[in-house]
Amino acid sequence: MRLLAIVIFILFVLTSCFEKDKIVPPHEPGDLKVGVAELTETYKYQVFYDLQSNSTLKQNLISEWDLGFETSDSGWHVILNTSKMMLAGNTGETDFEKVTSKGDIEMNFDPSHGNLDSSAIGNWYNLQEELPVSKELVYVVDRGTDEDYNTVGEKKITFGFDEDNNYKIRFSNLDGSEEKNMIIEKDTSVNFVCFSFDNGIVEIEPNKQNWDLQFCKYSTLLFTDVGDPYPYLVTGVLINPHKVAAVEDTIHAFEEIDFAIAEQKKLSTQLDTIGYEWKHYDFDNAHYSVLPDMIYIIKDTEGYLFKMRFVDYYNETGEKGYPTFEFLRL
Amino acid sequence: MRIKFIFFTLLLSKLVFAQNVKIKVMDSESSKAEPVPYAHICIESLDKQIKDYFITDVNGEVEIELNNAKIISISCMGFSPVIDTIAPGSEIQTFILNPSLYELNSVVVTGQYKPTSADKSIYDIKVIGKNRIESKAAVNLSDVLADELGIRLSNDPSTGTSMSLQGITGENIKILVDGVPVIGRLEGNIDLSQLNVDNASQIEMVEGPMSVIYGSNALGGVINIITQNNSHSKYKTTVNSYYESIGTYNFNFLTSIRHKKNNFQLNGGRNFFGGYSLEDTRSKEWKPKEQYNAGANYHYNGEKTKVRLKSDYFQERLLDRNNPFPPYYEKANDTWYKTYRFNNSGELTKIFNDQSAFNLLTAYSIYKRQKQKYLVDLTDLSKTLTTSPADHDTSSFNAFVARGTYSYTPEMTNFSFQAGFDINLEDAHGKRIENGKESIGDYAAFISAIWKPRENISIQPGVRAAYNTRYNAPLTPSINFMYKPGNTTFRASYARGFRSPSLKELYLYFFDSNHQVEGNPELEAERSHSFNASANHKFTSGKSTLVFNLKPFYNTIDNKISLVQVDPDNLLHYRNENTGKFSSLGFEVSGSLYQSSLFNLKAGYSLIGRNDESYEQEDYIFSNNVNSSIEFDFLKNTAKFSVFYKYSGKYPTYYYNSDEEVTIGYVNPFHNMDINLMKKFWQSRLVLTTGLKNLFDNKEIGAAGIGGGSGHGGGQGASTLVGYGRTFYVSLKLNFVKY
Repeated sequence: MRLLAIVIFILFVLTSCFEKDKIVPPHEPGDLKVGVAELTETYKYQVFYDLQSNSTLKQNLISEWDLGFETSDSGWHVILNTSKMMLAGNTGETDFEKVTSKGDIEMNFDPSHGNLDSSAIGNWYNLQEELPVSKELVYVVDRGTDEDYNTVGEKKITFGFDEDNNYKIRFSNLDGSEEKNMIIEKDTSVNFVCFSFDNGIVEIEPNKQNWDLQFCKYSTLLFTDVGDPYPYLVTGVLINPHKVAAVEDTIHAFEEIDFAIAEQKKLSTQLDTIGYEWKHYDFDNAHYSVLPDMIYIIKDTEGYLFKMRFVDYYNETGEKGYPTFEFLRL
Repeated sequence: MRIKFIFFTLLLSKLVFAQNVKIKVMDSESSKAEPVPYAHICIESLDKQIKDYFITDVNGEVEIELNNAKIISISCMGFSPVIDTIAPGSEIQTFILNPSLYELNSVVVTGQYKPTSADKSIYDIKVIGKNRIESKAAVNLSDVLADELGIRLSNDPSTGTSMSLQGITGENIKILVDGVPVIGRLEGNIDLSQLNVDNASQIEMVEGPMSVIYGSNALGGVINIITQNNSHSKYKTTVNSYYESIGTYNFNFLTSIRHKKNNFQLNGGRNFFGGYSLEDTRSKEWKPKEQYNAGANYHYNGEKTKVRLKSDYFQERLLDRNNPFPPYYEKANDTWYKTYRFNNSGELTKIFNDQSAFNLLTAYSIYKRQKQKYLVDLTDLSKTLTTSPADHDTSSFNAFVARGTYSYTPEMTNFSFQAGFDINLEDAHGKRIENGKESIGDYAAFISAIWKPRENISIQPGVRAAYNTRYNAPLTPSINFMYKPGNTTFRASYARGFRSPSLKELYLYFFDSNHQVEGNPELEAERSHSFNASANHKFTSGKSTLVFNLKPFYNTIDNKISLVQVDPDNLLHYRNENTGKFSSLGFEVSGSLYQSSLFNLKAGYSLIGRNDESYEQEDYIFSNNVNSSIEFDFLKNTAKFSVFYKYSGKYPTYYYNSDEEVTIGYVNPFHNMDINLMKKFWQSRLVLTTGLKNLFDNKEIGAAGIGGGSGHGGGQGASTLVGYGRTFYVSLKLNFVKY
């Protein structure tokens, strides 16, 4: 009996359970505002965000548009919707009918820095005495993939002008079917007039005076260890170069950045200044961790300065694709 | 007066007809003889109707009442059993037990026509006995195998412990429990830490293919865990608790009742490990886990008919916590991996006469693994199941096995044979399996024969023919040879092996934004050639025996299946491919010294070379290991001191460096030593074992060579986890036995 008692005692002593977590006191939010861009798990949306009102102004599915037409007075560049991993290539051919396949032409991505001269479609026109003249070249456009990663297909397109210097485009499938012509007028309330091969002109971008940041997937060039570039789809933030400029600060602590420090910063209007590198993928835990030491100073055209950093990448149910950031107007 | 007379007569008759006899059990006839305490004695009437059981005391003695001649059988761990007759006569009768060299004389069953002593088996079978398992205070199979020669274990935080044998890993090692294949492989490996050895009586290990009998997965070798079968006691309960200072708390029990030829047994237990990390972080390199196991079995142990019904349940919960997320450290993830194993088997052995027997084994096994991820709010500890589909997964495997063998083993002739069939059906379910469900079936027949042209020569050819629902299974032949002149035994074998790709290798489909891993339905089956030989010599002098062993081997596997990167620009996309030839060669040399059953010293060296064609390298890369152990009994067999030591030499691995060139990296060598002390109290009713594990305090072992590189699996610069540092343990075992 005594033996049994000893055993029972020992069994009580020699047992343990999964350790409980320690409770962490919640942080004080202060004057900070917290914003979330709801891209969702598959990053199917492009989200236009306004910092002043701390709200999403507009969002669209990534597959809603293919091409964007520049609206500035002196430029007629055409961009690709990089959220879809789109590619375009110059066939060097001017006879629209003659192009039936992309052959072995070089297909390119739009760079994520936003320099329009180095875009995939690039300079499809010459300026003669400040007036644009089309080179009449035929381009092949690979429409990339939709939200579900299904490939959408390819089109051929050629760009020209009408008498008012509006865009005049002609496009069809590579076999010549579904050929259409269309006039696209510049709408200066937006940076780019968006166009879909399926639905023509589509309203995507909100008024360019209103939005600051666009959260979305976009393609960028990464480099292998030996320096070979390869395109890669990343998820991050592109700025509205018409309204804001930004810069990254990794020197100061978030708390210590004030107006005086922010003011000294040299800002950039490069689209991917904020970019995607504020998060890091942890392979061991299969988890994206945000890097709160990467702080961004943002200045808008009204002169307001903001400091911003990312605090989360997941929503309250642990679904990724919800970049969450806090920011303070200085 | 009359009454007194009757009483006297009764007393007298008792003196005449029922004599008290003192039985003394000694370990030798010489003057240095020691008594054998706690030997089991069974006294049987000549007609085998009445049985009585006794156990010797510390002085090796027991007193019994004897009125006529009876059969006595004496057995004790570490000695060869003795069967004799005993008749009234002298008051003290002495019996001598000869020490048995456990590993050599123990009876093995793996791949045998009938239970055979290991040194007579045509296969070179390594036996790890109950004694050695207990000396090591081993809880699971990985503890048992860790310091064995020629074996290398590797640890993965979430998929567990995997092994390599003769340089061959993963899918190619078959693990059996009482002959039933263990299912549920993760990345090709069975997690050895999920296989409890608490109720194992011995572990039998055969290196080299056993494809003729065991089919697929048996290219590299077979490990068979044999569970206990209570044959001595009427009633037995063992309760075992184990504490290790790292935070391991185990409790296991086993109870069995025997009634005549029927034996019922129940066992169960809980093993808990609290997790360990090098730095005190929420995330642990060694994840905390909790295992429960329960089993019930029934044996009918007749002379001609033996039946065994078994049911085992196992569950494990492994908690993978990550570090809280910056900047506020208020949120974190908890990922639970739950593993369930449920195995049911029935075995029937029918012995027709001395010459032939039939054995039928059927088993149905279920394996399920579930992954669940929670988001934890550390400010109030509330948990939310995450909604992302990639965070959750359940895969399950069901397997049905039926194996029947007919053995014809006449005593007097020089020919015996075995013929049998082996049916293996497996299906897999889960969203990471293409189409959600896939199945594969393998129906095989095999035959082998032993021919003894001379008394000391055996030749065993065998062949297996199979129909596989997905593969053209070829004929798989093997030939084994044994020559046994006196105390020397030579064995040699050649075997062909065949392994059809597993359902996971064929149909795994795991795509999300971070993973693109796919199976490949076009895979070819792996085929192997294997050559094994061994020479074994036994020197005996008095109570001492020295055994010397040399074992060279060569294996080559064609169409080796590996996971390879599909597109050099896409670091995430992997697919299973046949990558060509894999070969391993090497040898093992070992010596054991046995001083009666009380002292045992072993030392061994093994050298293994591997060559993997998928890396387009000509040269073999070699690694070695050395092991040594001392087991020493004292205080009249009631205490035991043991030391287990292993040196794992520099371990090379190929990997692709950042320039996509094949480079060799090394995992640095390391030493491991465990020291154990066991003491039995109260006539073995209480056994206390204590000791130090991982004396050299191994945690992470660094890797030499070039660091960094692309995601091509292990061996690249980063360090390897080998342990959680030096620990102290204590184990307390209680035995309640009634004979």
